[in-house]
Amino acid sequence: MEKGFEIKDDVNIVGFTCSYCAFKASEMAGSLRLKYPEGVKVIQVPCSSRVDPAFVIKAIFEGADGVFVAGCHPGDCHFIKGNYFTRRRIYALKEMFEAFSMKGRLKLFWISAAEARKFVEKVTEMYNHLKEGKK
Amino acid sequence: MMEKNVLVIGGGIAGISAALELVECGIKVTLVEINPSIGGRMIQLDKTFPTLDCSTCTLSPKMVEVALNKNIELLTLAKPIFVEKKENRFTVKILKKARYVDEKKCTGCGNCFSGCPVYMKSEFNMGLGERKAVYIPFPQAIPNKATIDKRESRPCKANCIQACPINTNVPGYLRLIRDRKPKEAYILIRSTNPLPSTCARVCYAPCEDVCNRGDMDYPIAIRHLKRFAVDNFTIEDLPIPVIQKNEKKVAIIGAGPAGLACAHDLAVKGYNVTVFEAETEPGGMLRYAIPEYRLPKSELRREIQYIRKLGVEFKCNTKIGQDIGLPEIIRQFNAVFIAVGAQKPLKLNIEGEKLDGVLGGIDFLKMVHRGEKVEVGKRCVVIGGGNTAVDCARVALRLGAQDVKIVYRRSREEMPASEEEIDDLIEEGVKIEFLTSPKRFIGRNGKVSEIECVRMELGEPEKDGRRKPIEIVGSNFMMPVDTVIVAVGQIPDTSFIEGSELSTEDNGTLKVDNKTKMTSLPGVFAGGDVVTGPKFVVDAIAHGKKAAINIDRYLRGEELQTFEEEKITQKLTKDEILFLKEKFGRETKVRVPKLEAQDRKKNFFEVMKGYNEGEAILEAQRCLASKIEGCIECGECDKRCEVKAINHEMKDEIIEKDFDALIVATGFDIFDPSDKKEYGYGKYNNVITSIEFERLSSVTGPTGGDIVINGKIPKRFFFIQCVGSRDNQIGARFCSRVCCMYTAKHATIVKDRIKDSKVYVSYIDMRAYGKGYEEFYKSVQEEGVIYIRGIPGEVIEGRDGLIVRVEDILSGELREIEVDVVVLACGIRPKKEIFELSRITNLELDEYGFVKTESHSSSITSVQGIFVCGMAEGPKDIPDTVAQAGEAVASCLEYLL
Amino acid sequence: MKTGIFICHCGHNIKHTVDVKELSEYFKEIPNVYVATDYAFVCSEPGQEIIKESIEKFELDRVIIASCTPSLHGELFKDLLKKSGLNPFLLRRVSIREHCSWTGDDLKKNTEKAKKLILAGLFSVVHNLPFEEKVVEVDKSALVIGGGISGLSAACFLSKMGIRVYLIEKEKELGGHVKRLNNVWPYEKTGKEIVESLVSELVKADNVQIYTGARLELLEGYFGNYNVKITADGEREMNFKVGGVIVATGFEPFDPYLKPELGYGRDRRIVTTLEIEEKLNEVVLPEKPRVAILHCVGSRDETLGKSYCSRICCINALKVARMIKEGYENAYIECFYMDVRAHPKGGEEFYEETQVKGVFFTRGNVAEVVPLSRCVLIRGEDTLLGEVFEKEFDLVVLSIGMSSQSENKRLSQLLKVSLDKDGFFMEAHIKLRPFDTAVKGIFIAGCCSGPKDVEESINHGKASALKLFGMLNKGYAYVEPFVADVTEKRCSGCRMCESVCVANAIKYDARKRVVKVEEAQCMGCGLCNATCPSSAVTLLGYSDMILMDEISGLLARL
Repeated sequence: MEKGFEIKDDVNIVGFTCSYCAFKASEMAGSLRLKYPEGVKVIQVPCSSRVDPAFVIKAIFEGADGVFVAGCHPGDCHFIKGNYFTRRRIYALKEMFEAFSMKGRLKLFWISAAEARKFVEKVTEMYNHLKEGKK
Repeated sequence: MMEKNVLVIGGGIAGISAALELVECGIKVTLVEINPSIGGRMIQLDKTFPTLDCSTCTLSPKMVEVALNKNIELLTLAKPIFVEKKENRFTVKILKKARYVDEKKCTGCGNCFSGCPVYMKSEFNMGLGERKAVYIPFPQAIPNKATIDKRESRPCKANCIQACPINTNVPGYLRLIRDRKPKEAYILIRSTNPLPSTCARVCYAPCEDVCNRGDMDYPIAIRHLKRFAVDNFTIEDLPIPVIQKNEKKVAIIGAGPAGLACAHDLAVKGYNVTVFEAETEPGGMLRYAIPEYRLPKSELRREIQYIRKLGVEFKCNTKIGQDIGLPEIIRQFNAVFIAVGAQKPLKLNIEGEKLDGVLGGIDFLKMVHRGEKVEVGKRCVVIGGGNTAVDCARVALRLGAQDVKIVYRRSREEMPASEEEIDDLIEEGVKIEFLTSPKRFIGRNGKVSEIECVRMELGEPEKDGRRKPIEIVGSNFMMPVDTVIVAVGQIPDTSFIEGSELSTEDNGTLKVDNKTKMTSLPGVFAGGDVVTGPKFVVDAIAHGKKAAINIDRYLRGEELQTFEEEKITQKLTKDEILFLKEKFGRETKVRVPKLEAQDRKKNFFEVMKGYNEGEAILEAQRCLASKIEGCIECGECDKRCEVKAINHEMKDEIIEKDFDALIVATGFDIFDPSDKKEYGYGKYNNVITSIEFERLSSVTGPTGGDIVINGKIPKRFFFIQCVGSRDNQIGARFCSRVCCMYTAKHATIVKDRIKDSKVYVSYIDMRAYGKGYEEFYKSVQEEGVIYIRGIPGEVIEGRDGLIVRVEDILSGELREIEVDVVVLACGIRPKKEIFELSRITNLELDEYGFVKTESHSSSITSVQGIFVCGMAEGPKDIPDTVAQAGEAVASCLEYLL
Repeated sequence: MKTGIFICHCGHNIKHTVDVKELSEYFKEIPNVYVATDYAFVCSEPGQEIIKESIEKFELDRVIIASCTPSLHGELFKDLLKKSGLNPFLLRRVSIREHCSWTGDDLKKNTEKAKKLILAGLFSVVHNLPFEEKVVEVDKSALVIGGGISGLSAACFLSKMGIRVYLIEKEKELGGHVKRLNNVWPYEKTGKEIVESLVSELVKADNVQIYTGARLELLEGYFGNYNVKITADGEREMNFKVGGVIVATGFEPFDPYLKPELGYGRDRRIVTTLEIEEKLNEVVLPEKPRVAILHCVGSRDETLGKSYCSRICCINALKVARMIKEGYENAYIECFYMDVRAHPKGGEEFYEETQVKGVFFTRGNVAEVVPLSRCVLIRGEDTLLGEVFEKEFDLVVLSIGMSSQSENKRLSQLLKVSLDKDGFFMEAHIKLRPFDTAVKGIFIAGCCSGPKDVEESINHGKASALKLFGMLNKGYAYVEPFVADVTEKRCSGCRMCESVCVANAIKYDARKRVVKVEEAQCMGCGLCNATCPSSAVTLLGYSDMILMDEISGLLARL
């Protein structure tokens, strides 16, 4: 590909994944050779509660079509209750997104380390949804 | 405290906890696990009660900790076989079974599994799913290294692989056919052979000649089995692989088997391949020489169509040296492969060969296949003894000749045509004049009408081992004919090389470096009949493939590979044969059905029919490699392993080491409910055990977490508790302590995943005694799970499912409840290995086989210095196991003081 | 900055669907990248050699390895950096196998993705700091709160292992409830025997301080260095330092007065299991006594707000039944139960034998116990037969459950360890970390985290002590480098971070009006960092800069 040129129909998604659950699931998805769109890229964070709303906004500003945050199922947090904070925070942020007509561009997933298939399903679903919206 | 070391036996949650605690306190640990991975039973669980959190999430970080800790020596596939206590030290001999994979080299990439033809039941999935003979039990396995499950050594030497010019993995695909996996068999065949359908029909099957089974009774009908695999696969369904295209262009001259094979392999590697073909359609001799009744053209077209789909371009009606010159091609392409075959019929060089009605064998077949009208008259004589001669005779018969003869100068023994073909020919009514040679053709009005023949006898053997035919003087006789077909061989037509630097050998074949397949011109390769003279399809394919390898290397600037002559096949010794005969007995070959002679001799319908499934399986299981459990050493994994980690020569080792103390954490087995006949386990396939249910509902399980039984999502569930527990009749008076809760967990999983499900649980006492358990039990009831107090009497077949007969003790009524699935909450049993361990360590067991402990500490055993924790001591749940592991380590430290 | 990028083919695993040559060519052109190269197996000996040589030759100060997922070969590459004389925290692993080459088939798209993944690594590795693993000294001493069977077992173990122990007990003497038991099932020993053997060991030991009538007043500090203030014998105040804490406050027997319908306290013939064990000899019974034992008193009872099962009372009830049967061969004993949870090892057999010995079991709810002059009347419903019954007895034994210590609430605030809804202490993970709390160095043992029997309590005591011993024995503790860090001049002292920290690692410095982080305590979740409104708190290793630049890399326009 030539430099400075971007494929128009490409959808970019940045995902923040908790190292104990969702990141493990994404690793396992790879090991199982499950396929998902190349536009999905993950960042590993120690806990989903590490995700600052500024990260989400930064990603959107820099051209991400969507952002997801994925943590452990409620009650399973390695840090006891980090994911409850995440839930509250992302909920508030989602409201803001909706106010700016950006519904669907921010998602929160609960994915355990064993749920590689769920990881792939969720990100693919989000990707397809955003792609549909881009047309 | 320093320099102490402890042996922990068992790598489940108890052993893992104990090992991690010990190293935390500065003690060196050797952890032995009998399975290929640590994780024990807990890693098989989907969720754990009562919090329903994921078992993998909680356990796998601990497993990784074990792997990374430098003070833990992890020995998997290992068990202690000898323990001796001397003063305060234990000398232990540990048997470490060979993994056949070098743990240091293996990267855990899993490439090896894909080719392995041996499917086995996955222990991790309780036999509900399959794994290969080379496998990693589950993705989170520690160590994350492949293991080869080799149970016995392969009884035969698998000459078939060696004998095949393209080294087809014969034992591999026979095994897959035996296992009712014709599709996988096809894929395996196809991994080395781009024309399986063709080879399945016309290969001369050198594999069968050397088959070791032949020493016992009859060789396996390998080609027919290949045909079975081919017949059960639709090539149109074969996906196009991911091809990473490059810019390089390769020309292939000749669309016969060699050219097609080369084109196929290069296309897959990403090259832009153009095939030049003189005829109107690709296929070469396959298309123009082999008759329809042996190889239907439609089959060939389908195989070529697939090669087209890979991006290969065919330029037909383009004759080299005529429509386009070789130098032109060399200029346009980065590399060239010449595979024009041997198209020119040899002459007898006798009088009358130019007469009308005297045809060349190949020319005759080509004319027929092009659809040209060929008059053969009533009497037709074919000269020659090879496959082409036989083909010509049978084609002539089908074209309407009433009297077809073959004239051959030697006897049947020397005939190069295949036995089977000759039999077919005779069946169809063709006569063979053996030991006869034509002297001259006599014509009338320019057309042949008679042949003067002479009888021969056989003299001394010639260079090729066949006896030399010698004319019997004065035995001349006349044979009236309408048509003569001379099929005594072909030579390549190499006229196109004129003006280039290429040259030919004395026999007219093209000169190449036999080891690399490259000609004297760099980048120009050649193979197939043009190099070897007339040979078989599979030889041509082999040439094409080898050329493809070296063209790829050439174009990437790498050194060319040199191909050595075929290895010598190994025969079985007399003793080996005797042993095998005794072991496996005699089995007759399954005959392949074919059209009756009278039904076939007047038409071009395919003569050979294929095996049906039953016949194929029966025949395939005759293969000696199919008779053993586990790895058959076919070498597919070897081929795929890029780091060369596979080592079939690896041996079991015995490691001897001294320890200061032992911790036994061998865990448990699950009660086998087959003994409780009334519940129909093993009889009804919708009666399953709790651990099977666990795998079925697990996201890491064979169904990815969908609860599917016999292809359907069941709606009505009955969980029977206390199966194999609290049961005097089977000698298990004890309570297994975990079944009430795991069943409650299963019930909620069902309620959660299958919305309109109906769930019954039968129980005696609901033992929800742990932290949060009672609340969990309550919530399960609130979800609508129906608890019935009582033990079901029996499970019988109903009209639409299974009927569970149970007396509800609370209401006093006898109920018959129809359900789709019955899940048996099986109790806990001591691990069977504990009995051996107890024998070698003098460890006292209780009446059931759990390790006996002293009354004031649950981890102190009858042998000083040996401690126990987890289920090995008796049934308990995970928190209790973890607590006991801690206690065992604490007691162990006190002991070591 | 001199960065080296090493791209692994992993044989075909990466190479087949990612153009590794293109990657190394691409990164060679980027400023500050001193070396960008690809190799078949970076993890192999020769692969490692290439990295080592490059580090030395180009004096690299940042290394990126693009290969399999970071959780594989983690230690291997860290060691390699150390061996090459580079701080291991200056390494960045980029997963282009599990997260790229295996998840897509398209070479072009994968190569683009891999570029962005490596760019993200390249952008963020700049902010990696050469951490030195910090070490704090730990005091090899422990505070054990509670002198019951768990606390005693813990203290004994710790003392034996050479840890200085301070044992505090709120009662006048040690031993807790076990001391009151006549016969501890299944040991057939008296509670006194069991307790006294432990106590005598402790008294003998020269590294154990026992304070009775004592209570904890203050706990400050962090793992390895806690400052403790206690009062003993009512007024004496004491201060000392400990490395860690074991909480073993036990339980309180359920108070049967809370169920007035059972008539406890109104008649001497209505007793609890604990009482009958202590004074069976003092109770006067007829020759053929009729005894009722009521299970689940104060357990599995929603009306009392006690929905949990007390785990031990069924076996206790059975034991009492057997004791009475031994004293009075002709006694008629009937147990009223919901489920018989004979849970410990051997419990089921004990239950079966008890039935064989002639103890009757009736599944039913007892609604009322009415003491009359000639007998004690029990009214209830047999849930098996569905009949209402009224039965006469000479003695009614209430098998009482366990309630949480009322003291727990106060302790929970002092220790910053949460309680569950029933007032028991909450474990860090109910399955795998039953002794740990969210606070590093504070462990829980025995019935303070929920009902347990004697054996389990001993197990718990020893196992939690073992955990603490493992941590203390080293004499020092590594402080995870990836902890929160406060930039004081940005901190406004709003204390929002403090309120969200579950590890209790953030402390407010009232004098400076800023917060500080107890590194040894911090678990590294980063919640504080995301919460701080003025970006004063940073989670090292996952700083805002690192993550922000990682985002930029992933979204770079190539």
